Amino acid sequence: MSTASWKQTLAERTPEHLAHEVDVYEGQIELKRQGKIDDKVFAETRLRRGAYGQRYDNGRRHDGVKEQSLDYPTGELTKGTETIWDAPGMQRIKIPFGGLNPEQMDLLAELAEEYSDCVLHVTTRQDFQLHYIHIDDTPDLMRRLASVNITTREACGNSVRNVTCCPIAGVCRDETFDVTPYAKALAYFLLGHPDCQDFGRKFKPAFSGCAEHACGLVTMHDVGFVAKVREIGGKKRRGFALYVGGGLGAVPHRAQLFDDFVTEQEMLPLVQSIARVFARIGEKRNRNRARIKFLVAKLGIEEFRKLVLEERKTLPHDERWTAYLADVADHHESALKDAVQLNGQPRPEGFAQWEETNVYKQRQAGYATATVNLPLGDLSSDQMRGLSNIARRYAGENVRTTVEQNIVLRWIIEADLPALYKDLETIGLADPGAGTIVDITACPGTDTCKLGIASSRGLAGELRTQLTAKSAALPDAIKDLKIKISGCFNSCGQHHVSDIGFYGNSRKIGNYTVPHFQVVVGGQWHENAATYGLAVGAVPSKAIPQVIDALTQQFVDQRQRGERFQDFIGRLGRKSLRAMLEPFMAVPTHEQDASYYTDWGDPREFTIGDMGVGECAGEVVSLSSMELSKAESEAFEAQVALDEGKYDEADRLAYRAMVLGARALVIAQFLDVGDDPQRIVDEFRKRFYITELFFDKYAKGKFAQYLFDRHESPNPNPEHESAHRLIEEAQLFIEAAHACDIRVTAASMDNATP
Amino acid sequence: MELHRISIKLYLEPDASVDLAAIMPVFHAWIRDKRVPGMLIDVADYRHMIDGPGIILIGHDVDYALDMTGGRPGLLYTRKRGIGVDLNDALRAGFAAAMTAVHTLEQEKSLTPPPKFRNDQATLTLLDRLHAPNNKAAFERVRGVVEAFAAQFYEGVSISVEHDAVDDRRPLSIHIAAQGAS
Repeated sequence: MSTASWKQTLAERTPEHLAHEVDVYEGQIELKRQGKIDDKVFAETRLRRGAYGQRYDNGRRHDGVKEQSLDYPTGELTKGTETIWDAPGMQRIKIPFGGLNPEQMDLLAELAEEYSDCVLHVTTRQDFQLHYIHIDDTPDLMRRLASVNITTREACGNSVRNVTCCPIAGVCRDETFDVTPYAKALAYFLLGHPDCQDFGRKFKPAFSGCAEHACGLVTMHDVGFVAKVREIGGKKRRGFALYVGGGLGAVPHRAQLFDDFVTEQEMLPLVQSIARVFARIGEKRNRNRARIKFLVAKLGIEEFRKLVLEERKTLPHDERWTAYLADVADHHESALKDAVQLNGQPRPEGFAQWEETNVYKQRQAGYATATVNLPLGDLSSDQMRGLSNIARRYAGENVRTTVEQNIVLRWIIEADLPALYKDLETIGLADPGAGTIVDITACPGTDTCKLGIASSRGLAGELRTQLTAKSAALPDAIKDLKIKISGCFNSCGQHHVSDIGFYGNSRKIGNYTVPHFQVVVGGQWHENAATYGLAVGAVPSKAIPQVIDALTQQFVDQRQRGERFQDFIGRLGRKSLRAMLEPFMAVPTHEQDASYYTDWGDPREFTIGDMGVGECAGEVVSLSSMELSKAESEAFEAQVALDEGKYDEADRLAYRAMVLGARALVIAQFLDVGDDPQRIVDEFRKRFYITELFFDKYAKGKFAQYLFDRHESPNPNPEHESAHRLIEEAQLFIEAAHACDIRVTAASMDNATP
Repeated sequence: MELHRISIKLYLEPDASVDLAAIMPVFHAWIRDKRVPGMLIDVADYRHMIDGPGIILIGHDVDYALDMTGGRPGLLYTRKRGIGVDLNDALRAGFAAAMTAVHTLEQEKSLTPPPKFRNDQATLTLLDRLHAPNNKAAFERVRGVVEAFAAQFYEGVSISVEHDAVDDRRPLSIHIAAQGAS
């Protein structure tokens, strides 16, 4: 069998910058194994590559009787605080604006088989997640993604997360214009941007093509864009209403209007300015108050706007702010086939029901989108391959994930819809009901998340089964209600913006702990997540199906003519709703009904003992620490090159390691230093050498001289000895940079202490 | 060369049915009581997926699943780590562990009726596209080892091994059949 590695095999097919990123990450893994990177720094490093922890990664699990120790082979080696190296993790894979092609789908299927459990999960932010991943497998997993132009960079951690977008942008009948190229431009502009590396928490952007419909959910995001057109100087100009400071979490905030109309030219620099302000003055110590929504609330939108606009004036010009507009003009999706309408073709059994809920007529005559309703957002690797075949046959490259955990195939000619439906049936993905009451959104919850309290997926699975069984008989008034379930109050399941939402909690009943869900009703999905629901009361998990029945029946019986569910909830009021829930809140004794004391899909006696420390609000690691970690990785790569006899490369990488180390110190004082080595060395000399800040008590400026010498007089013909020596010098330089960083940080904290 | 991951599927009898809901507490008990080989961690519930992975007992180095893929339920054993360089050894250990799981399930008192597994068919999958791509050449490279192992495992009956070449995007899968196994 072949002895090749994925690195070698994919070298020609992988964009260089993506390949290099993964090499650096792999180097950091090796350094962590050698104990040369701090737990917190490594945790943030892997989070920024989307490598997340999972439940039980602290090595403990309650088996229903007692807590058991999980004895992993690597013993004490950890990949973060209380996170054992060998413990399975989750890999999040960003899909900017949800855009996928069949080649990527095939590759995702491969990864699910070789590194996970053959299941791909679509998240509420249009990402994919693979579970039960070993960290040792993550570099190859990332390499293979890179070969199809997918990066996992900044999928997690205190960074800019996936940029989401309406899944029907570009084909929507109501949109102002196609926001897809703008979402794409923002995603790639912010990816790895220096101004986005020092956040106190995550940052989530979203785009919507219109204000009236839900798809973009702009007002619940950190920053959101709603497409607008305005006449300026007699010409119609594209732009956006820009919102800032929204977010769900435990306490939802609606985003506030930053500007009623931001031009295409100002979109990127304004977000960059917002990022800078967030990085500079956002909360970093209190993790629970570190999202931008708290900053905007604290300052008020007027003051926040003022700070951002002041920041805007200081930004060095960046060509990329407007260079992307050429791509906007060129942005074009093409259909596989010429439009043919559906006229008299035979309809297979079940097609009519499926068409009613899952098919959307595009604004381009004769074309439609077909939503694949994924049960709990999951599909198997075989199903993914089947879907990629279907996409190739009917949709071409036009595939999107959705925040309702489904997949949309676009540009289907209407005449193909029956055949498409049959093909979906063959692979078990022809469920009707997309976007209706049976299409329930749930976060991973206690299945895999360390913060999960109650089983959101277990409940969602049970409700889906029950509601699907009676879907044909459901009254029209409730068919389109949205149910969303979160495993805890952090609202990854987006329960705040559903008609009927639930978030997991628990209650002590005698000597037992019983899983419950807080009932949250009357949220508004439409108008870009316009309002948030009311929390009414906590009900035992096993009684939730009865709550759904009672609530929906009451709505059907008592709604006024044409009354929307939100208005009905508002009219009833919290007191009345609570009274409705009361009968379901009672918990039978254990002897009467032991099933209440276990959760959906889990036969173990319920406990909250398996909860761990979440990584979504992990530690804040200083920007300098993160940058110095990159310098370490580069030095490691230099050693690898030396071992392989590549002396030119070893020399180059050792030098680059020192430049990165110098940059790590400089950016703490001067964020805009950029990447040019000459500039970095000049700034380093000015700020750290001449000032003697870098000087070691005994070695003085000696280690800095290693950088200056190599920078000024590169060796034209490196050989083993010279490359080896330079690597040694790079290591010493980086150590000195660490020591300098510690001194400078300690001095600044001393100065800050009253 | 050490393969990254292999799986072995042993099928239920054609007329046997299995209640996945009943499998869940069984797998949880296996974790508690360490009933099968491997470092066992948790149980993943995929009953909502049509012809999907069913219920998976997730381990560090191995997984066991009551797998419904392809509409053919069976016990799917997956070795994820520490396979070793000798394929014959890996098959021996893998089939032994899979058979332990099968026998444990067949004797599980809480499952009524108890599941009954075939003893004349298995599917071996090499989940390593780098070292064992799904093509004729890779199949031929391992064929001899698989045939020799199968002959030993299904002692006394004639065996056949066949490459599943339906879709080269799938991992390399080999169907093993034993004619006349009792």
